[in-house]
Amino acid sequence: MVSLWCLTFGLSAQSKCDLTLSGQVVDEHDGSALGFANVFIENSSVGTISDASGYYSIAGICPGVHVVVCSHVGCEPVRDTLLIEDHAIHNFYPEHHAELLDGISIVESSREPNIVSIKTRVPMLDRSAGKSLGQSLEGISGVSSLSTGNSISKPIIHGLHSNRILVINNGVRQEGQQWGNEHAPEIDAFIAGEIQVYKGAQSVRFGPDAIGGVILVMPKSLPDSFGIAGGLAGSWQSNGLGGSGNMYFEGRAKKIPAFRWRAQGSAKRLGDADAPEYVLTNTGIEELNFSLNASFGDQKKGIEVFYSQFNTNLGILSASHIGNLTDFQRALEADEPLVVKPFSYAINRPYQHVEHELFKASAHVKTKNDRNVGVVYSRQYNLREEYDTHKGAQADAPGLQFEIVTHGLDVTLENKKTANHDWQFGASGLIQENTFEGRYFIPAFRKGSVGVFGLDQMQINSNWSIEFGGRMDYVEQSFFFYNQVKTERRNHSYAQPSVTAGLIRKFGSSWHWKLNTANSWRPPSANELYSNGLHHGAASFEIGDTNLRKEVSYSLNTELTFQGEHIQIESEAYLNFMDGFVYLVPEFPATLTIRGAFPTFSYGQTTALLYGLDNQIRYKIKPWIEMISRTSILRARDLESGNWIIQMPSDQSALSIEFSGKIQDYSMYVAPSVKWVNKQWRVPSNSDYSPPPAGYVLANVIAGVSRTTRLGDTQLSLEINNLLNQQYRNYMNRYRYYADEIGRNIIVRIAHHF
Amino acid sequence: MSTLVLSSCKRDDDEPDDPHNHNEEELITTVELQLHATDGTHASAHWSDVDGPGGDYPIIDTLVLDTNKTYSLHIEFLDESGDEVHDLTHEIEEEGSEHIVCYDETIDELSITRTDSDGVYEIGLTSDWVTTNASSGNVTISLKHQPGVKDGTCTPGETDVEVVFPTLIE
Repeated sequence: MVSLWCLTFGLSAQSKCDLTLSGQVVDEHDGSALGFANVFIENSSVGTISDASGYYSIAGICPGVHVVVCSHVGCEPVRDTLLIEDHAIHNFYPEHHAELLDGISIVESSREPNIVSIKTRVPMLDRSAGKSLGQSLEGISGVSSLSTGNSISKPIIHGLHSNRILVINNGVRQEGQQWGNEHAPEIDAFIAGEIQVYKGAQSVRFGPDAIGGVILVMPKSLPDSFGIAGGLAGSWQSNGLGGSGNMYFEGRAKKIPAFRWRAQGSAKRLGDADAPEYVLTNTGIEELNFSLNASFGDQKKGIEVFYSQFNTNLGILSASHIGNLTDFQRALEADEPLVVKPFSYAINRPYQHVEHELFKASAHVKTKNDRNVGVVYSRQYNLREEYDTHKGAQADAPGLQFEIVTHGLDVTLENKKTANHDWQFGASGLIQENTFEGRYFIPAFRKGSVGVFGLDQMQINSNWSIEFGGRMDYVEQSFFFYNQVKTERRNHSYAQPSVTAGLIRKFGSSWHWKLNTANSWRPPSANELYSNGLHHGAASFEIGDTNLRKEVSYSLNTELTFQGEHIQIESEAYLNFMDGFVYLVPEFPATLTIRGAFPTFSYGQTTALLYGLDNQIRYKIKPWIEMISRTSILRARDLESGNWIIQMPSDQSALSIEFSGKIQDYSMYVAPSVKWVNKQWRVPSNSDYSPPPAGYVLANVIAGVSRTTRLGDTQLSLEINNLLNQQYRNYMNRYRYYADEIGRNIIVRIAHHF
Repeated sequence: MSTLVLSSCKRDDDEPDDPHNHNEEELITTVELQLHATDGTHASAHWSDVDGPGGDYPIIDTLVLDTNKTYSLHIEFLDESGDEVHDLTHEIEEEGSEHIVCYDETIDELSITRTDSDGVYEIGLTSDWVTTNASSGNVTISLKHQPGVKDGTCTPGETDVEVVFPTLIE
């Protein structure tokens, strides 16, 4: 399935021993990065250890034929014979665990310049087939989700979400209506061949808004092998009585080796979910997506086009749509949701209809001196329609509709590893237009932004690497208001630099230390400036503040890792000081409307400090038993009032034990796990409608079997979430006022790749 | 319910700097009470918030009733936010099986009974108000939207209107 390949750049041979071999060490089966692998030239003292993301680089190699050995805990060492004539890239694919879970193809990773940042790959994406993007990230320590029931889930990194997290889908900034707490990322999770999560600020490389972190969703790379290949995957779940399916075909013809293509489509349908004691009425999901991808060219120069479409209808729990505070009080006091109907697949009002379309065209050229020039153009169209319980003047029309169109252009120039420097320069521009119809919540606007950046990573010696970078952005936004007579226009503009600096220090072969400091920012969003209206479902009145200034973050992240023979420890600590942190301030008196009085909040700014710890330990007790524990702790303080900050994830811990093995051709695994989530008692007093719910412990189990034959790989897995059908509520779920979380869920997945 | 359609090249036909709202929300801004007593005396009161939620404070009349009388009430729900006044009472009557008007009086000297019906349950667009001795207090009037869940009580559904009229019986 996986072929080893070695890229040599075919330039004239050099006689001095100053060549560099770099690349990545990747698990053969699931494509996850293998950090802390030993990579060395046999019969020499030249060697190194891959970093936490699996990347390695060996300098001082003489031209000629070398046997390069890569070894990693729990793996058979890999020996590859390479002819090295120039700086070269070579990836190693040791066979790691016996659990064979294909699906993530191995990407010939171009070395990301900012490896100093703390980056995690989402492991074993196949095990999350059928889950939304937000849900599939939950296994990473320090990452949790802000959800609205079981259908809407937004990732939270180190306590920050929405406009403070950037999602990069296929190299393009995802531009939708991210500001809303109940607006999930509009991405088909089946597209992802690989997901990487950067924890901590990343504004220099990715632009404003990346204060909390960045989620990179990368499709599988187009095929290298000739012929037509493809795959089918399906999942079915007991809770919601439905499932999802994905199908793709890809190919490369021998006659035209420069041309590669893929076509993919997926669908999902779930009915009402079940809490242990009742049906969660109107929580069904429908999704229909497809993507087309083609490229022409090779490593030296090429063009690529990508087109994808995401369409979904998301039911909103009937009991959560309330008319006024009296209704809300009644919902809070009731033990069960006030509307419970028998199970149904129907999605009735209230519901959301969301569409997202991405078109991307890119080109790359490798210059004579081995530099890469890349250009990416993208266009995105995003439609969000919110259908309230009440029909408006036109019966079929949504109560609220946003349409947002974004054009982006990115140019980058990269230099790979010469004289121990990896540098990258780039410029990006964006034009965006937003319009709305229906009830007012945020105004129509037009936005333009430009940015330039530079980053350099320098290897000082085999123990030390440093990185530094800077960026300058200019953002201009015009908002338009129509007051029955004429259109009024208001402009806001921002110019702001971002900087980053970091270092990596290796101590011997087992210890590894990273330190990263960054300054990043974001402009206030449309809702923070101009919202003025009732928030259905939250029974509150929100008022924007047009005088908000930009939010600026100063952060420090550090990670210490230990890689022993049987044990691997990753400990991360972070500190994020935020000037102008935007939050909702309660206002008195409440707003009196014809629907009654509503608690009122206006957007304000304060100085905030967020700090925490993420810890992960993997212990290989026996070759076939591995124990994994993860713990995340976060504290968020408003430094001006001395209060805790509302709506932050509480302390949590997870423990799993994975048994894996191989019987004849069948690879199998079983992994029971428990997750503990503490009660969030660190909340500001008198600022919420009901106290945070109690902590809980959940038990889950997953088991799978797979087999590779000449006909392809076949995988089958069974997962049971909330094994004990426990009744609980989650502080980070906006439905916690109305209903319990979903009960036991049995998921069956099957996939075949040929 | 809308279905999912795969169509290519989606476009936004609106310009942000030329906002024209095709689907402006219908808004109840005003509740009007007209009370006619059997002896021909008349009382009325308004509760109106013409600029919608937020902005200017609503205008709220005090309802003044005579002692020992029986009034019959007609309640009207109006949208006065635009240039023309829209009377939404008729729509509520047409969708009578999805709506109920509820009256909650804190005055012992006043009793209110709904007098109309959707065929099964009362709607409450008309009602009888019977006063006894002089007193004062509040009457809370609410309009509930109860599609598929109407059971004759005020408990289920979503609240569209909830206004309080200060009331004086003298």
